[in-house]
Amino acid sequence: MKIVFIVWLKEMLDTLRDRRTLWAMILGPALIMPLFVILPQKLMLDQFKKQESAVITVAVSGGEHAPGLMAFLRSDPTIEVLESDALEPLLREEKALVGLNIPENFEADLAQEKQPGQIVVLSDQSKMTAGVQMARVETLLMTYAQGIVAQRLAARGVDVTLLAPFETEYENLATPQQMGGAYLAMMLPMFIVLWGLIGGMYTAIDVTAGEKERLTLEPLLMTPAGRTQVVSGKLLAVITTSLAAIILALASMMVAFMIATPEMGAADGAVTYTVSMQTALLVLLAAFPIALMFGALEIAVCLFARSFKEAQNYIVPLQFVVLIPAMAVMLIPDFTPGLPAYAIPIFGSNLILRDLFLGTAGGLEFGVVLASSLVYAAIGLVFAVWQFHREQVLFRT
Amino acid sequence: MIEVQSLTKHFGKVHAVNGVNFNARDGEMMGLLGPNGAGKTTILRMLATILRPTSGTAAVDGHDLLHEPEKVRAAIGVLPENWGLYGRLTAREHLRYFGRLYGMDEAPLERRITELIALLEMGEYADRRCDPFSKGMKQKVALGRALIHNPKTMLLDEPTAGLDVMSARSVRDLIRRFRDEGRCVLFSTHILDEAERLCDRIAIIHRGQIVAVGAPEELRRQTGQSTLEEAFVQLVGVDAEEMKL
Repeated sequence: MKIVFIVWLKEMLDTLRDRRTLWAMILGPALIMPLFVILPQKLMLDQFKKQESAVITVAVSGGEHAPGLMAFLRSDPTIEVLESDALEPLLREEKALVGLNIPENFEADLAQEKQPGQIVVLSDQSKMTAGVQMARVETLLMTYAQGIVAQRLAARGVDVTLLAPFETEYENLATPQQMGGAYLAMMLPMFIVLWGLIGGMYTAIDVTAGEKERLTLEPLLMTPAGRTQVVSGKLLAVITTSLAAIILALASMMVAFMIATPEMGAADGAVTYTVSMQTALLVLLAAFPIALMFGALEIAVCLFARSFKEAQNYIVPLQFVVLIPAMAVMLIPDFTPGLPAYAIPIFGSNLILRDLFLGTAGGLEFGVVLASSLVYAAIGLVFAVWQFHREQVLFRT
Repeated sequence: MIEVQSLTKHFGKVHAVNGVNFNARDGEMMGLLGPNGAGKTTILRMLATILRPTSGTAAVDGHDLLHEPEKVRAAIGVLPENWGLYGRLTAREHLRYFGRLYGMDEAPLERRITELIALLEMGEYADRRCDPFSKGMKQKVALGRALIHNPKTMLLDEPTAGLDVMSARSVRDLIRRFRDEGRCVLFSTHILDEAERLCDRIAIIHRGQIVAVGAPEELRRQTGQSTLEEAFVQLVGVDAEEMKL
C-alpha cells in the first residue's frame, strides 16, 4: 500500500505541474460546463420571447379584397403590413417571414355569407423564427374569424356563449425545480461522464505512454516496487484527476445557477435550475465507479501506445464510444428501460445520473449501477495490471 | 557479484542473446564490449529483471533472476542507456521518489540524498526541474538515482555515450570510484579505448555471443596482437568496421 501512495504522490506532483492536465482537469470543466448548459438555454429562451412580442412584418397580396381584415391587422401595434403582389421574392429576401395571399372577393363573399376562397399563409419553415411568427398570424386570423362568427350569431339573435359551453384551464403539476430538473437531466449526465473521461485523460497518457516516450518506465520497473502496486498508484492518480474534473464541473454549475437562476426563472416564470447538495453527493457516488472504470481503461489502452501522440489516437475514439450511450439517453424522450439496462456500462451510469437530476432515482437501480460499474472497473484494472506485466507492451518499439 | 549462465533471449526469430556465460566479482570492473546491436543492452535488461530470459539464468549476490527478481532488483543499481528523467521533477525529487520506491525510510533517505548531491556535485541544480538540463547533468541525476540505495552491484549501459569530454571524464572517475569502494561494476560500451582504460576484464560480445573474455592484456596475448583494437578486429571480424571507434 505504501508504494501505491508513493507512486500516487509523485504522479500528482508531476501532473499538477503540467499545463495540459490543468486545462483538461480544472479550467475546462469549470468554464465550459456552465457555458454549455446555461448559455444555449438562455439564448433560446431570449430569442423565443423576442419573437413572441417583437413587431413582425406580414406581407399581404390582395389586401384590396379584404379591407376589414387589413384594418384589423393594422390595428395591432405589433404587426406591420407590407402590401405587395409578389410575395415569394419578398419572403426569400426575408423582408417578411410570413405572407398572406387573399383571394378575390374575399370580404364580398363573407358579407353574403358565401364560402370565400382560401387565404394562403406562406412561410419558409426551415427558418426557426418563421414558425413563431406564423403561429402569431394564425392566432390573429382565428380572432378575426371569431369576430365574424359573433356578428353573424348576433344578427340571428343567438347568444355567443352557445359556442363555448365550457372553459378549460391548464395546470402544470411539475414544480419549477422539476421543470429545471428535466432540462438538467437531459444535459448534465453526458457532461459528467465526458468529464470523467477527459479529466483523467492527460494524466493517463502521461503516466503510461509518456513514461515510455521519455524512457522513464525502464528505471521505474527496475526498482523492487511491485508492478501491481505501481500501476495501482498510477490508476489512483488518474481517478483523482477524473473526479476533480467532475467535482469542479458540478461545483461550477451550482455556482452558475446561483448567479444566473433568478434571471432565467423570471424569463420563463416557472423553471428553476438548482442542484441540491444531496443530489450532488449522490452524483459523485455514481461518478466514482465511472472514473475508476475509465481510469483503468485509459491506462490499459495508453500503456500499449509507444508515444504520447499514439496514445491520443487511441483515446479519441474512446470519447465517441462514451458519447453514443450518453446521447441515446439524452435524446430518447421519457425513456424508461427495465432494470437490466442499468447494468450496461456507461449507459447505465447515464440513466442513473439522469434519474438523479429528475429526482426519480430508485435505490435498486442505483445499486445495480454501482455494482455493475465496480465489476467493469475491476475488469479494467485486471486488464491494466496484465498489460503492465507484458514485456511486449512495455518494450514495444 | 554476478554469475551468468547460458543466458539466452530471442525476440521472435531474432536471437538477440545466445547462451552467454560470464562472471563479475565484487570490486571488479567488467566491461561488455561490442558493436551496436550485439546484445549488450538486452543482457543488461535481463540482469535488471525487466526482460525475461528465453532460457538460461543469472544470479546477483546469489539471488536468482527467475526466482527472486525482487531481491535482484534491490541488490542492483542500474544506469539505463538513456537517462530517462521526469522533466517536471527536480533532481532532488527524482532521488527521493526512487529512494522511497526502494523502501528507504525518510531520515536515512534525506541523508543519502544530501550525500549523493555532494558526491555528484549537483548542488547548484539539485532543486531545479530536469527538463532543461545538459546531457552531463542528466547523466549525473540518473547516476544518483542508480546509487540511491547504495547497491553492491551496478549495471551501467553506455555510461559515457553522448557526453562531452569533461562530463565523460567525470563519469569515468565516478565509475572507478564505485569499483574502488568494492562494488561489482558491469558496464557496456562500444568504445574500445574506454573499455581498455577502465576495465579489469572485458567480455567481447558479437551477434549475441561472447567471443572472448579476459583482462585486456590477456585478450592481446590470446590473439597475438599488440593492441586491443587489433585483437578485437581479429575476434569480431569485419563487423568491427561498423563500430564507431
